[in-house]
Order: sequence, then structure tokens, then C-alpha cells
Amino acid sequence: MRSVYLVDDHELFLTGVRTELSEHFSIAGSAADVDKAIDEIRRHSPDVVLVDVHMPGGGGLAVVSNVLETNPDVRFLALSVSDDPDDVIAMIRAGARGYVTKSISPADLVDAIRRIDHGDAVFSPRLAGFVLDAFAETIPVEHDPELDQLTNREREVLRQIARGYSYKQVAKRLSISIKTVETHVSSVLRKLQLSSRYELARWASDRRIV
Amino acid sequence: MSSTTTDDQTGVRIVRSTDDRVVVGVAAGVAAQLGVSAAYVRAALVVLSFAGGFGLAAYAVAWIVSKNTGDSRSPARTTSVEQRIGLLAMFLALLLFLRGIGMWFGDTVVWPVFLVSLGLAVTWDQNPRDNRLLAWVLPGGDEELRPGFVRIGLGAGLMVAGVAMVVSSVDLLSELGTAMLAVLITGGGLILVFGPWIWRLIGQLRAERTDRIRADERGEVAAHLHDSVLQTLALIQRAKDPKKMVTLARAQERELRDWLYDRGSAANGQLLSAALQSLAARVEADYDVPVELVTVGDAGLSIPVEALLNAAGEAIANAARHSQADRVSVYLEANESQVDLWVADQGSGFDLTRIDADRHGISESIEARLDRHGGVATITTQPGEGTEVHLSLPIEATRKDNGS
Repeated sequence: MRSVYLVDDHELFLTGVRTELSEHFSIAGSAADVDKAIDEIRRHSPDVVLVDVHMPGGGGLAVVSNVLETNPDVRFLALSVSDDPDDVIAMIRAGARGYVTKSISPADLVDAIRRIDHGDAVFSPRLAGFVLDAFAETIPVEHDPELDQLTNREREVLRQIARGYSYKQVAKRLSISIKTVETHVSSVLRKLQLSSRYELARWASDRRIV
Repeated sequence: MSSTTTDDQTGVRIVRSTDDRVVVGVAAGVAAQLGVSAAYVRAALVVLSFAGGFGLAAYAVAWIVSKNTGDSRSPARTTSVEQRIGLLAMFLALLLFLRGIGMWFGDTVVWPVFLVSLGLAVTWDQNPRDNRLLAWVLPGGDEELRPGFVRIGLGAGLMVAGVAMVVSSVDLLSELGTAMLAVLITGGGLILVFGPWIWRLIGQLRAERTDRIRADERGEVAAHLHDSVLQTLALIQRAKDPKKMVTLARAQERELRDWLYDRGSAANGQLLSAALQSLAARVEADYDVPVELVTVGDAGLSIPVEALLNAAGEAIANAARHSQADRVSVYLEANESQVDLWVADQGSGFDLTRIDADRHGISESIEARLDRHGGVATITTQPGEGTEVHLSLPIEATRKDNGS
């Protein structure tokens, strides 16, 4: 069984998620604050960490960036009630491989964790919308053109995800394999993390919310 | 306890007495250390003071190097009238001594300054129990602490006398009008007497105002949460149907977000995304099906865009009503020249060819609405495969950017 570590400062939510996930994963532990989380994740080195964006003491951002410095193999899935693109993009750029909102159904959450564990990216419809918005306007190509633009195929995949379709459905609708969908999404994730477009930051602060 | 503290000290550490003191208790402390009566020490100090000020210097040094007896049960430092008079007499003696040996700025400077300082000290004694003026003027001040008018009068009199001495000696009368001078003196006296009080009063008022604003804000937040979140939580507790609970929770979530992030304000009233947001909320409330809305870009509300909005409303309601899907996904992509909107569900789907022509649902409310404004509606569905409605509308170049 793959191990999952939980980081959330809401006791009730933590208890609920722990129960939902314990059938499918071994729960390596949980923390309600940043320091304990960093310390325990480093020691247990779980396969996947579910991390809340908003927490006292630096938030999920601090957990992700600190752990990845020493343990680059740990994979993070960000989880939040926030819709703020600023927070979401910051988590992804710090190294989280996906983002889902807390209203996600238990089955979808299990699916998302599996996907993260396999090294894929998890894009909720909302995150896909954020990314399309962030890469929407064509900008003068001063930086790295490969990183600063989405290809048409990547854009099309994101649009399908934003419309609520699963990776499997997207593959079927675009007549490509699931593997290809996953490749496109991972490539978008990489661009999101590495692109030097400052527009990303500006866009996120201009537009606080969907 | 305090009486034994001094005995415990080793060496020649001077410990000030808090029980028996005229000025700060140095003399009594030294006396205790030497084992003689404090009166001798005091007398010696006074005599030495007249011998070149040595006594005063010694006193000051002893004060600096000494420490308090540390009597923890020591009451509020009350200084008796006798102690004050003693202190005043010592100070006067010092002044006279300095005057005698010629270390003197001149009578016209020192005496007025002395009088004014004394007046200020009398009026603005910082001893908490004696700070009666403050207690008296502040709202809810203790009746018992009414100020001695004698005190204020004495203080003001001393200050005015001091100022008057300066004025009379400098002989400004010839240069300034008498009336003007009187105003100046009176004004100066008033500032001296009441200035500190007004200063404190202003600070007090400012603090009160800040507190009030904070309380108002709290009240507003509490009122809003009470009318919205608490009501919804009560409803959720009474709801029997899980679907209903979800609907209530989602509606509340939406409302709270709008409030927190100040959405749905006047500025957003003219935008398609905001209109879609409230449309989604309505459908959720009516059919107990979550509507997931994702928007990329935005468009202003014009007549054609409103037609698209209405068609979208029909499509979303249809999906919620007929598809039996557990959620409806709505995706909007808009820019200056084009609006595209998809309404998708993963529900039962249906056979397009078997829809009765007279059923207005799709043909009239969706397709014809868009057709009238040059748009296109495409419906993709099959039984068991879910349904997707794509609404596409080009926006004419003549369209005003944001009509206002």
C-alpha cells in the first residue's frame, strides 16, 4: 500500500479525509502545523503528501518548498477551500503536482492521489481554467518561447478538462491515448512551474478570484 | 520583612528605604547601614550641602548606586506634605547656595523658571492617587477624586507669577500693546495649566474612536454571519435529504465568497461571468444539483450576450432536470470578438432525433435564441453518453467595450 501524509490545520477535515483514505492508502501520519509537517515528512518520506494551502506559519507553500529542498522525490497534492488563483499558482510553482478544492468527492480524491503517485499532474477544471487564463494573451516572446506558450494541443486538453471531463474522457474525445493526455498535462505543469512569464504573477494578483 | 532586608546585605551596599524617606530614602538607607538614626544622616547632608554643595552631590551619587529595599508589599508611593516641604526647602537652599557662590544665571531667569516649574509640578503631580484633574474631567471620573481647586489655583498662580516676572523685567510694555500682552500672558498661562490635560484628552478620544470603529466592524461581521451562515447551518441540521444539504451548503459557500471577496458588487453587474455565477446559483437551488462553473476571460453584457446567457440558463436547467448527472459543468471562454460556452453533463443523454418538434426546450430556447444574433448552438448527445451543449457567439466589432 502506498503511503500518504496529511497536512491540514482543520481537525474535522483531517479526521474525515483520514477515514476516507485509510481503505486505499496507508496513512503515514498527519500534522496541523508547518514545522511538524516538515519534520515528519522528512523522516517518514511518504509517497504522496496532501497539503492544505492556508495554514499558520507560512502555509502549505512553506511545507512544499522546504521538503522539496531535501527530499525532491516527495510528491505534493495541494488541497484548499480557496479559489484564489494567486494561492493556487504559488503552490504549483513551489512544486506541488496538482491542485484540488476541498469539495472534491472522496472517489475523485483517491483517484487524484493515485495519479500524483504515478508522477502525473492533477488538474481540476478550475485549475485548468486558471492556466488557460494565465497563458491566454499572446505576449512578446522575450523569454523562453517554449516555456511561455502553450501548444494548441495542450490548450485543447486543458479546455476539455475545464469542461469537466476526466483524462479518460478527454483521450476518447480527442482520439488520443490516455498516456498522451497525461504527457500534455505534465508538460503544462512544467511550463507553469518553470515559465519566467511575470504575467503569471501579475495576472494572479489582478484577478483575485474566478 | 523590609526591616531585615538591609541586615542581610553584605558589604557597603546602600539600600534605599521605602518606609522612611524624605526624598528617595537614601538617608534612611545609609543610616540603617551605619546603625545610626536617620536624622543624623540628614542633618549631615544638609550641612554638607552648604559646604560647596558636597552633600547634594553625595546624595545624588548615593541615589544612583543604591537599590530599593525591594519591599514587595510597599503601598502606592505616597509622599506626605512634610516630605514635600522638606524637599522644597532643600532645593531652595541649593538655589540660594548657588546664588551665593555666583553660579547663577541671574534673578530674572532662575526665579521665574523656578516658579513656573513649581506651578507645573503642583498642577500635574503624576502620583496616581493625586492625579485628580484627569479623573475629574474624564467621563465617569470618580467623584471622590475631584481636584483640589486650591491645587489648580496655586499652580496657575505660581506659573502666572513666573511669567509676569519675566515680562516685567524684560520691559516689553513699550513695544507691545498692554492688551496684547495680557492676551499673551493669559494664553500662555492657559496652555501651561490645561495643555497637558488637553493633550491627554485628545489621546483618550482617539483611542475611544478606534475602539468604537473596531466594535462597529465586529458588529457588522457578526450581523452578516448571523443572517447568512448561522441560518444556513440551522437549515442544514434540519434537512433530511443529503442532496438538499449539499445545495444549502454550496449556496452558502457562494454567498460567503461573494461577501468576502466583494464580488457581485456594482462593478461586476455588467459582466457575463458574474451573471453566469448567479444563474448557476439559481439552478443549484432549484434542482439540488451542483453546477461547476469555470470561466476564462469575460465579456460585457450586451443584447446578444444576454441572449446567450438565457440560452445557457435553459441548457443548464435542462441538464440539471433531465440528465440525472451528479453535477453540471459549465465552461465559459470569452474575449473581445467571441464568446464560447459549454454546458456538459455526464448523465443519461438522449436521442436527438426523437425529440418532438413542438418541444420548445431545445429548438426555441436554445437554438433560435442564438440564431437570431448570429450565433450557433451545437448539441452533442447519445443515450448513456451524457450531453454537451456548445453555444458560440461572435461579437460585432461595433460593440462598445463596457457600456456605462
